[in-house]
Amino acid sequence: MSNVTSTQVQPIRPWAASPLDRAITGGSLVASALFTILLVAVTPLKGKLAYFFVFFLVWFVIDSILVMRRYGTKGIRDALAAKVTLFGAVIVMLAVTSILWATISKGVKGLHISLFSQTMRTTSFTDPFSNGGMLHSIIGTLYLILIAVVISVPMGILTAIYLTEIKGRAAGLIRFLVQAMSGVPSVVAGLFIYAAIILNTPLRNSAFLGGLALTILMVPTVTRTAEEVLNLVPRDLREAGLAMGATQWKTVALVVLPAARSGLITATVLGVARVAGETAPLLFTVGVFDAINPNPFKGGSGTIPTYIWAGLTAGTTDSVQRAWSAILVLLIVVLILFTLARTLGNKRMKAK
Amino acid sequence: MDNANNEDKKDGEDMSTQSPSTKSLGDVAEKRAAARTSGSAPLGVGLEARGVHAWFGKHHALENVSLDFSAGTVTALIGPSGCGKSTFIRTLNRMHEFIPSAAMAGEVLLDGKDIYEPGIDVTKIRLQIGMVFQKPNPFPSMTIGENVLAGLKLAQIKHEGNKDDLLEECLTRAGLWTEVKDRLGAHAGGLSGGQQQRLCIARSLALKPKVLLMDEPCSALDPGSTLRIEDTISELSKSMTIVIVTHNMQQAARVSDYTAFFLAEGGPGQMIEVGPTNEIFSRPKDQRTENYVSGRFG
Repeated sequence: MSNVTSTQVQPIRPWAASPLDRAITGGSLVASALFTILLVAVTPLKGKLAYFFVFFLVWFVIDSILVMRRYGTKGIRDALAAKVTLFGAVIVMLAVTSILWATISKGVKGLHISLFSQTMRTTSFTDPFSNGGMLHSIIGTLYLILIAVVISVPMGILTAIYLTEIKGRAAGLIRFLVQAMSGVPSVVAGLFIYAAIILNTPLRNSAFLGGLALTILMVPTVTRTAEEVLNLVPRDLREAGLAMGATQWKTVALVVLPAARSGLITATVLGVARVAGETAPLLFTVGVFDAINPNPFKGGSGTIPTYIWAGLTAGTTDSVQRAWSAILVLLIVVLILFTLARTLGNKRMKAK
Repeated sequence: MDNANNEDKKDGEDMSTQSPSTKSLGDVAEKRAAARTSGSAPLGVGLEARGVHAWFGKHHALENVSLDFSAGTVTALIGPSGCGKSTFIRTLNRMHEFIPSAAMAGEVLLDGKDIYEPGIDVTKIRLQIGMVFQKPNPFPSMTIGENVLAGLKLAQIKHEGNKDDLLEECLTRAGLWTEVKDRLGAHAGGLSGGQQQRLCIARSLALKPKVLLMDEPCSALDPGSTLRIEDTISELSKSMTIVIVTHNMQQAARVSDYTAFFLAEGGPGQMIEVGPTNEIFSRPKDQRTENYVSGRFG
């Protein structure tokens, strides 16, 4: 047996970290941690963030010295670059996870069935949060997103097709305008709808007008993403379609768009993400409403962002709790929409 | 880039075995010519290029090319990279015009009618003159079966008769039927490069073209797949006119009846010489052709 095993070639990884390497890494981490605790104890630095930054700084120095001793100055540049990117990634992660954590930990306390089954029709925000719910806001927000998607996705994709396929004379100007539009502050979008429609026509606050305001914000995102995605479709495919006697319209409809399908869904998802939490433009286009309004074209409507806003401005413990729970619900609603879009979009691709 | 590499390799190979290579190419072509004459009368429709020029912006890429492709023949276009072969083949079914800044002059006659005549329906022209590209490009969102029949939808033509029969006929003629008949519903992306290219040929056949243009159809494929495609070309040449651009002179000798040699000597690309393939490879009239086919080029 031993004879057989000795003649067999054992797989090894000569490039993997040796025990010495691991000891050095571990040692530098432990040394940095100890040094950090010491430094925070003897200086007036305080708090979690102080620990975090001091630790990174100390580790930078200690590890760099160790690396330099082993690999020289060339190795130190590599190690420094790796640490700077790690530092950036960790900071972003910290920010995102702490936002998520705050939302979940504070919001989960107020989650109960009536939140999804009742409205605020007979309840005030300052009542105990077990009374009333936000069903009307969820429905309102879904209306708004639906209206915005129905208008802005076709508009955005058609504009992107003009920019990438037709490449007309106005392409440069349109591309510039779309980019400028993506910088429009959301409150201006709401103000525009208010000034253009509510002040000038008999139409008053409604989910439809709110959807229009969100469309203004969503179109640039959808257009720019869709343009990028369509540009990724290989030229070869377009030529193959055209070489088979297809008109340009048929080539775009049957070859280019299906090839870019998953990317176009991403464009839609990014657009929804852009507008789902917008509050400012809704305040003067939809207003605040405390019951279900099944007609999106007439009368105000509740929305999740305005529900959050109302809860926070009311200022009592119960109303603030409502706001946190509503933020969590918004997060969940958006997550469900994205998952739905992805699964529907990838359904046919799975046959592969 | 691929082409350049291919070519370097090709030249290198020929350089080492100069005279035998020339001789064997001539032999191969001779053999093919003999096989062809014993066959039945050719079918298909002829294509004639008359004084074709092509420009990209100010760059004059192709100068005064006149070539006849008689019905039912295979014509190979050979020449170094950048000599205008691909540009020329793209003028033959009006694909040239999709490149911004492109311009052209001259006439291309299909069945005696100029395809550049004003008011002509370009999509109808491309239905009759099919094209296979250098890189296999099946439609990624469609299954194998849908790819073959895609042309019917794309060109909005009604197919009288059974679509399944058409599917089988096209795949059989492209030499792919036995390999894919059990997975027509699978996505085309799962096929090998050679299979994808034969799928693209099958896709063109579904439209029943009279002429098939092939722009380096084998340059991205391994030798085995290349041979399969060459078999397919020989099979197809019985019923249609084929024009093939190739960097592989062996391939030109194996599959073509006529060979045209293109060259760009600093200026625009020109056609130096055209003739029956066996003559081009064994007794070319022009010294530059001789240099190129014998590997003494440059």
